[in-house]
Amino acid sequence: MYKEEFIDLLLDNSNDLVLLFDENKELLLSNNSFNKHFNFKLLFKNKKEIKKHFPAKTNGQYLNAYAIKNWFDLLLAKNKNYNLILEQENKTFEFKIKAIKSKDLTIVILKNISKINSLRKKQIRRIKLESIGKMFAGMSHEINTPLTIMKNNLELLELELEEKSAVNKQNRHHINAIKTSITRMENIVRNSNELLKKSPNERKNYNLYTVLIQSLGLFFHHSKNHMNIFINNKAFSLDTRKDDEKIFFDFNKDKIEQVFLIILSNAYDEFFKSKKELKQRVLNIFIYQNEKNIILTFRDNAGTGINKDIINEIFEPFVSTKDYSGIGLGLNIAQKIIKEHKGSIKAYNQNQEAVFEIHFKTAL
Amino acid sequence: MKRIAIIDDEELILDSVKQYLSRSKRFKIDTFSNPQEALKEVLRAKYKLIVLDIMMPELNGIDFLKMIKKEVPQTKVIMMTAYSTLDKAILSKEIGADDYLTKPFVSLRDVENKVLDCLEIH
Repeated sequence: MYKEEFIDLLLDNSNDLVLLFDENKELLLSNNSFNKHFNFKLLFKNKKEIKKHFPAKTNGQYLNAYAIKNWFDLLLAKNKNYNLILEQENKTFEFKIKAIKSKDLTIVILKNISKINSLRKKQIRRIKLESIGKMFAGMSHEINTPLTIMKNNLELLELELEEKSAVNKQNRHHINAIKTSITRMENIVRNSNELLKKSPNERKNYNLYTVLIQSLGLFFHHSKNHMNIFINNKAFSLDTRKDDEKIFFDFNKDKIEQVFLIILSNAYDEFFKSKKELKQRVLNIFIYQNEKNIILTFRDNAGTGINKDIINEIFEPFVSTKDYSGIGLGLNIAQKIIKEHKGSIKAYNQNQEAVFEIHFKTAL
Repeated sequence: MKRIAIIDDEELILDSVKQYLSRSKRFKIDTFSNPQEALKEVLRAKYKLIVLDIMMPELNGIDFLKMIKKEVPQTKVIMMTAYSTLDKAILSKEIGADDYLTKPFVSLRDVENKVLDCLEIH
């Protein structure tokens, strides 16, 4: 075997992307990995005929031998190992660049580390999740104790006021504000711990519509001053009947109720920030079933839709648009619960509305 | 009046639960914030029911429960836990606890209802 063939064989079996330049910065060779990645074809049987190529889009420009020649300075810009980030067909690739120079040859090796980085990011996220989970377990005990004391004493105070007939509009308002805040803290602690515990598999045949109406009822005192809720095009109120629709399947009622409350709370937070007049603020909920699926959609017009920066990772933990209150766990928990029920949830924007769409299979 | 012992290292929880349960004048209530002292008293006095916290220093509620079930098995026990996960509550039910309460309680009225159910007072 000739030395050149040997080198070709070696390079073409490398997973790294390799380019070989001569002393005039002319491309002599690109290996299989490079050609495959960039859909680049280089005829190198006769190394002096390196003019043929097929274009591939990179950074909006066609990649060809000429472009690669222009890369040469870029690739060797720092003389040290560095990372090159390329946007290619809406994907981001990250390469670790290594260049080896001799008198008349330069070898540039591009190691694709996009996957490694993505795995590393996932690993970091998992470790973060585990350690925060452990921290929450300890913290939840420490938070629940003073919460118990606050809640118990508030109940006693309320009883004393009632017994003395001293309840008035003003102190009722104060008591309710404290109660709501305690409940909010309880929910934060409970939601955080959802990540740690395995869900009990207590499923029964319930009417999903009834559970949805009950969740809306729980939420109504919160929502009524900030949004109008419509369910299947009818305005929701505390008088809405719970059995107008019959959508039965086996599910864990508490868990699904929690999913509804997470989605409703998120919508509430968005409406809370909204500058629209109350009559213009609408959360439209649609619930229906066909032969195979039960489909629920929650559409809110609080803003102009979900922030594009986070829409693709909105179900990942610690992703939140909330500046102060959110820790970004709600939708992750919701998705986990829905998956446990062999369902799916997706988020998208339509007509400047944020849409959350849930699918369950009719028969689990 | 039925004798009840409430054991928790948090005195403010003891005070509030005792205050609420005392309202009905159905129970004679002793409270203990030190589990070692509580154990001595529980083994001596004849309590109908013990409301017992799981997470306590020196003697945890699970070991405490085992001793109650061994020495005074007729005594009813309601466990309390401030952990959001229910593993310890489930474990204590397996050991023989009659019921459990998670902190924060749904309400003190709920605590009273559980006490009444446990003592079969209706």
